[in-house]
Amino acid sequence: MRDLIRMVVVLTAICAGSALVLSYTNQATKNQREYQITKYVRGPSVIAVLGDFDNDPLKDVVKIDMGKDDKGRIVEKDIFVAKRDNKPVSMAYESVSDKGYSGLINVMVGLDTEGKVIGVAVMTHSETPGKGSLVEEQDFRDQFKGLQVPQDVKLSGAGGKIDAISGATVSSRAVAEAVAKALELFPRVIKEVML
Amino acid sequence: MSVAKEFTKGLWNEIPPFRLVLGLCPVLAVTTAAKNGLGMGLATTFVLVFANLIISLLRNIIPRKVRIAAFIVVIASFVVIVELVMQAYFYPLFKVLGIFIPLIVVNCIILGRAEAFASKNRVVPSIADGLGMGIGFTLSLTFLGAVREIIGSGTLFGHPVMWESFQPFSVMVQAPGAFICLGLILALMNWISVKQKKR
Repeated sequence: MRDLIRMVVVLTAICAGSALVLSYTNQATKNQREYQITKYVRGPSVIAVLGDFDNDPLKDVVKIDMGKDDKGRIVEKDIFVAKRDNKPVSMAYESVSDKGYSGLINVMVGLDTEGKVIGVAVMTHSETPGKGSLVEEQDFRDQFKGLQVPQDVKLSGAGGKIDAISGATVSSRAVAEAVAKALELFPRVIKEVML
Repeated sequence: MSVAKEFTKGLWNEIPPFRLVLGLCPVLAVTTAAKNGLGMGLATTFVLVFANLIISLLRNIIPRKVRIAAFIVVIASFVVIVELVMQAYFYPLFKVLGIFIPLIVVNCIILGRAEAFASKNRVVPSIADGLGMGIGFTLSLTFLGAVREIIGSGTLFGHPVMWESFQPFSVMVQAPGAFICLGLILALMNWISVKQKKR
């Protein structure tokens, strides 16, 4: 009996000690880990869609409250702000469309302070290789540059200014929708960024 | 045995992957380049030293019947620490090593040293044992990685080292190359040992 109690006590104590150390390490490295993921996963897209800047946009992040998801957790959107001489000159944030041919299309949209698109990068998608995947091409993405009004960011067939990639109308429309969503969010974003 | 002896035995006489032929899973899987071998070796060394330290400290408290469970908890804790720190400060290496970092938990060298040495010896020899074994493991992985990287991609730690017209044998950085290389190194080490004994 005594042995049994001793086993339980010792093992519990070791586990508790382990939990303590691990939760501390988790807390201590949390910010740095998030920064690394941002830098290596989203970083290249962020840099690609922003213009000139002299700060580190991956560190100048403004978080915007996007309401709650269906599990009641708060959803935040990261706005990466590019600055020159400490003044915001442009910003980049993610936008998603679920209207693609298969799965979600994640795009990073770069905007200047007036809300004009300066760059679009397709980050993740699962469109058909060789067809829908052509939305990654620069020729297609460059069409968004300079657009400002969400109504313009539609396929030309629907009265917008974007020419769809032939054979990949659905994917093209989905990317346009994601960019239009980003533009619709802009008035809220600029308020937070200029604070 | 003296502390110095505990330390040096891991470097040649009992050098883990080549003499004990233990812990082969990471040895074969991550040694596609010298840098990966070095990173994996250092991560394992860290876990080995600290697990030996803690287990040696607790050796009289842990009841025999639950010792394996206790060892695994200690080892797993240090592995998670390594994983978190590597993710925070060495992200590209973390990506390359991937699943093999959590798998350090089941690396039989670590549990083996805990069971065979740290649970029966005092703290200082245990640290020396862990450090020696760890450095031996690191050297082995780095050496194997370097050989495979030089032949398989013509570089060493990412720098080109071969002449310009050199055609890399890409099989060396794939799975079969690991076995071929390991086999040749084992043969070489046995040959050297036999020669030494004869003398």
